[in-house]
Amino acid sequence: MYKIKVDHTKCVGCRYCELACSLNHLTTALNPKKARIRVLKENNRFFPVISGPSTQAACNIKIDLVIGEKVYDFCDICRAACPFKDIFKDPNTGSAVQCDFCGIDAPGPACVKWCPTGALSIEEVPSYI
Amino acid sequence: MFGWTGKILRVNLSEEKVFVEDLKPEEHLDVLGGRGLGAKILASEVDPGVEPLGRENKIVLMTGPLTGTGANSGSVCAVVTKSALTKTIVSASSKLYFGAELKAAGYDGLVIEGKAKSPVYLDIRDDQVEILPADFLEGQDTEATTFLIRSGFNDPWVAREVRVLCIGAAGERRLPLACLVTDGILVADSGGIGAVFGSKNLKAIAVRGTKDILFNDGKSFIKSIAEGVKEISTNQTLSSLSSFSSYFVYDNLISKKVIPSLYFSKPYEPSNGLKDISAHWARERGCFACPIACFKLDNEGESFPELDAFIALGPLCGFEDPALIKKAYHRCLLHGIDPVETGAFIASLMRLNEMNVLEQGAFRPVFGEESSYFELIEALGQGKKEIVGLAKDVISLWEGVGYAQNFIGVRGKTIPFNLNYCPVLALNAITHSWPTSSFDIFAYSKKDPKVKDVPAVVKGYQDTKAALESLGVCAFLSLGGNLSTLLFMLKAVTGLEWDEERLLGVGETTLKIEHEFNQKAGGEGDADNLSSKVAISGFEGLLSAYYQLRGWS
Repeated sequence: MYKIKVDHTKCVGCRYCELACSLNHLTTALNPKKARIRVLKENNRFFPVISGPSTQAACNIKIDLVIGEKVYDFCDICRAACPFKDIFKDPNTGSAVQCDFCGIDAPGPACVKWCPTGALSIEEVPSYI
Repeated sequence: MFGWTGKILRVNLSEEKVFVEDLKPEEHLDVLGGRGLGAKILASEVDPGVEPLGRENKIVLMTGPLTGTGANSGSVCAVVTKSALTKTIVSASSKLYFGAELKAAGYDGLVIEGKAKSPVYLDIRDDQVEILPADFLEGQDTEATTFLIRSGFNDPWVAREVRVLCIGAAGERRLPLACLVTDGILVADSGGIGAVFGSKNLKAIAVRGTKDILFNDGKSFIKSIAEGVKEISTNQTLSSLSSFSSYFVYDNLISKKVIPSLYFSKPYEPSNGLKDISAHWARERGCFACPIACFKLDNEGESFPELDAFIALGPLCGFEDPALIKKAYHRCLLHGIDPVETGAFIASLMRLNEMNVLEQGAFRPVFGEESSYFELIEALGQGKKEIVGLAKDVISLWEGVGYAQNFIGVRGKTIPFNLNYCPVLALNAITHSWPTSSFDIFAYSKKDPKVKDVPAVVKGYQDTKAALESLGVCAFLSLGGNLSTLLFMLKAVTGLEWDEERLLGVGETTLKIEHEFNQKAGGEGDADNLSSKVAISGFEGLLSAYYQLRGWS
């Protein structure tokens, strides 16, 4: 199986991934607020966060995440994929939006294809299912 | 028509009322949007002779048809008003995410008029627009202002996606040096606008939009963006802009002696090269939908100054250390004072001190001396009486001691380059609608045009820049972007089938509106002065050739 690998050191915050995602899913419109990937800026660094598949159980490994000098207690990074505190909602309908990977072949996940800096890439990981 | 939302917000601060007005883009195709439409609205609603800090002056913020659509480098929102610094019309380019967010909130632009009774900030969340009290933001620096406005939101994601355009304490005190800052980045050319915000008691504009942006032909638009990204990445000039930010012309300018030092007393001869400067860059930052990503950040994530700010805060004041200059730049951004003007102000004081014409007891800074330099930046940023009582801007500092002829600049704005060595920069600085130190013209002009071609090059550059900013696209694209790709995008977004000539015509019309505004505003005395200070043989001839090309008298 494949997954999207995020290298935050390469992200410059241009938000092409957000546009690519929303353009690919809405086709005739653009709306970064309906994208399934959003760029989080913290401590002057940029972190693309993907609204991935929901987890099956409540989070029982809640640990504080330390980035730079800041400790995150908002579950910011995980929340996008969290079934209990899902955060990427369609602003009109309120329904949660989720990454559907837009297929692996061309055109591939639109965000990966469009990322101009190489912060997003595809990686093959072993499947255990 | 797609590309425009067809709505503008009129904010009357005196009555504390907000109106939504219809905008018919068909009626404004001569100027498209952005900078052009901003100038058109300002010229039609404001008397050019108005006092910049008076109640009658207005601020027009306008996006172009390509702003926020995802078109390459389409992030520009023009902030048009009559500047307190130059007393001319000025159109600053707010980049990053502000313009895109305003478009997503459903508005093409804002017209801000009147004056609030007490400090306020404007809060735009789609259809919900409020004028809110900003007492809690009084005296706060630009970073704290952004943070405090964002902390009013419960949801951390929503808070982060609120885009704030604000002034610092200097703007509240109406200093002509005050500028605008958005998300830690200086709004280009905004020196003189901060004071206008302050005069209206407007501390900040916060916006968040969640609406769809629709296209005429989405499929071909997606295709054209991919082509545009490819074009940009393969273009040599834009690639070097991407790698070296505005410093891509640094070595050239040094070798041509265009970079001055010690308040224009001699050309800058650095002991170290570009490598020592670039060693301080850790990461890059890009605006909305811009693959160029030309902002440089240091290790701490603070933005590194652009070339003109680097010169003004560095060599002009006798400093070379990039880390020190970056620190000074960061202080300027926090206070919301224009780094170029601040550097020139301090360098002027240093020069005056050397000439021994400063009164006793006043600040007596020395070139290259650190402690008084930082002390002065703080004093200017906080508008301390000892310094602001002396003079509020660079030109009045020189006038105050009777050496007005020593001021280097146009209409009160310092141009931090030795114009004598570069006719293209000189002609552009003097003839542009507002004095500007756009060093990118150096790259646009292919570095060394023949002297007789200079007026045509300058006109071409100004027209292209104005046309791009009217489209809502960053002017840096004029260095290597393909106009036909932008026209293709314009067609895909709006359905307009234009050719290059018509697009450049928009630039020409924009400059004409701005020129007429400045003519009526009067007070162009210093423009003539500067041409006498430029010791380029035959410069008068270039000037008249330029005016002939434009068809202006």
